[in-house]
Amino acid sequence: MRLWIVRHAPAEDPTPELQDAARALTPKGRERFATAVRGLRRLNARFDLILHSPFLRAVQTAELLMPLSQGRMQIAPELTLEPSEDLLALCEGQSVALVGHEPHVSTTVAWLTCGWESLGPTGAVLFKKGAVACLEGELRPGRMQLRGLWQPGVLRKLAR
Amino acid sequence: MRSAALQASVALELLGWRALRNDVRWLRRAAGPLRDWDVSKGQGMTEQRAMLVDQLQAQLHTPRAQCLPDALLRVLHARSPTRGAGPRHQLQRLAQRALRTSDPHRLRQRLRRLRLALSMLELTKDAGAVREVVDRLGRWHDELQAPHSDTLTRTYKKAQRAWRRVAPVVRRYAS
Repeated sequence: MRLWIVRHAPAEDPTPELQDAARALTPKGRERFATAVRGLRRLNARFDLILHSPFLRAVQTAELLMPLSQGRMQIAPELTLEPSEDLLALCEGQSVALVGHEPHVSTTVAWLTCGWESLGPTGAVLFKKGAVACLEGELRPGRMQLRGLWQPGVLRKLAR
Repeated sequence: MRSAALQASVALELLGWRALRNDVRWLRRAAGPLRDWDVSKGQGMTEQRAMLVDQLQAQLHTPRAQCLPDALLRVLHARSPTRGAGPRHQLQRLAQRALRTSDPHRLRQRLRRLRLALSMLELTKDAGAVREVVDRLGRWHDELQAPHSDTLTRTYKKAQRAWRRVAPVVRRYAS
């Protein structure tokens, strides 16, 4: 199985009036991620299933990934929590995209590749907004290989 | 719940969203067996009905179902990031889809979506006209399930006549 772990694109800053779950992508964030999706296409990223967190910024990011999807999208509140077996149970198909949030996206990479449950206080994996990691292998903790981690700037350059 | 889920699905489609439509469809399907039971056998509390209620409640208590209403509210208040074609274009697609089928059951399903879209866009007169066809096809469909119905042919012909009257309206939206 191939797992594409996506951090949502840049979103509005949090404010006291704006509920965190309702923060939308900024116009620049939308545009830049749409370009990054073209870069992903050049990497032959294709998804049987896109799972996304219920937060608006993740839903919008998943929507932008749809041109690469041959299957369906599904909401997954498990993506707002630390990675778990419940999340893995949702991953059906050969190539699945998970659209979520930090610190859980980098924790997911660490958990599935090394079996670690945390990356410690400094964080060993830099996952900018709009970054994508690709893991391949058996969908079990410590059994997947990191095939690539692309920051959004690299994906946009690939799109050109 | 099925009706609300259908309305949410049409609203998402009009606003150009693909997200959440699969989840809403899942919710509609989850409520399907109980709804079919109630239509065919009435709402008396039997063991079988109680089992269907339990099944539905189990689905409604999953994390997926629990987070869906709030996610829908947020999405319906925001714009789709893909900036797809606007509501009028989506309405055109719904009308075209309705015209593409000759199967009465599929026609009813597609006209139901079209009728909801017309209502949401406040095209109430045309929504009412399409609703008449949906209702007549619905009556015919219900009679199909009833054993030994002697009005089946008449009901179907009424539905056909209603459709012939309304088809030009749908064609206008499809063009």
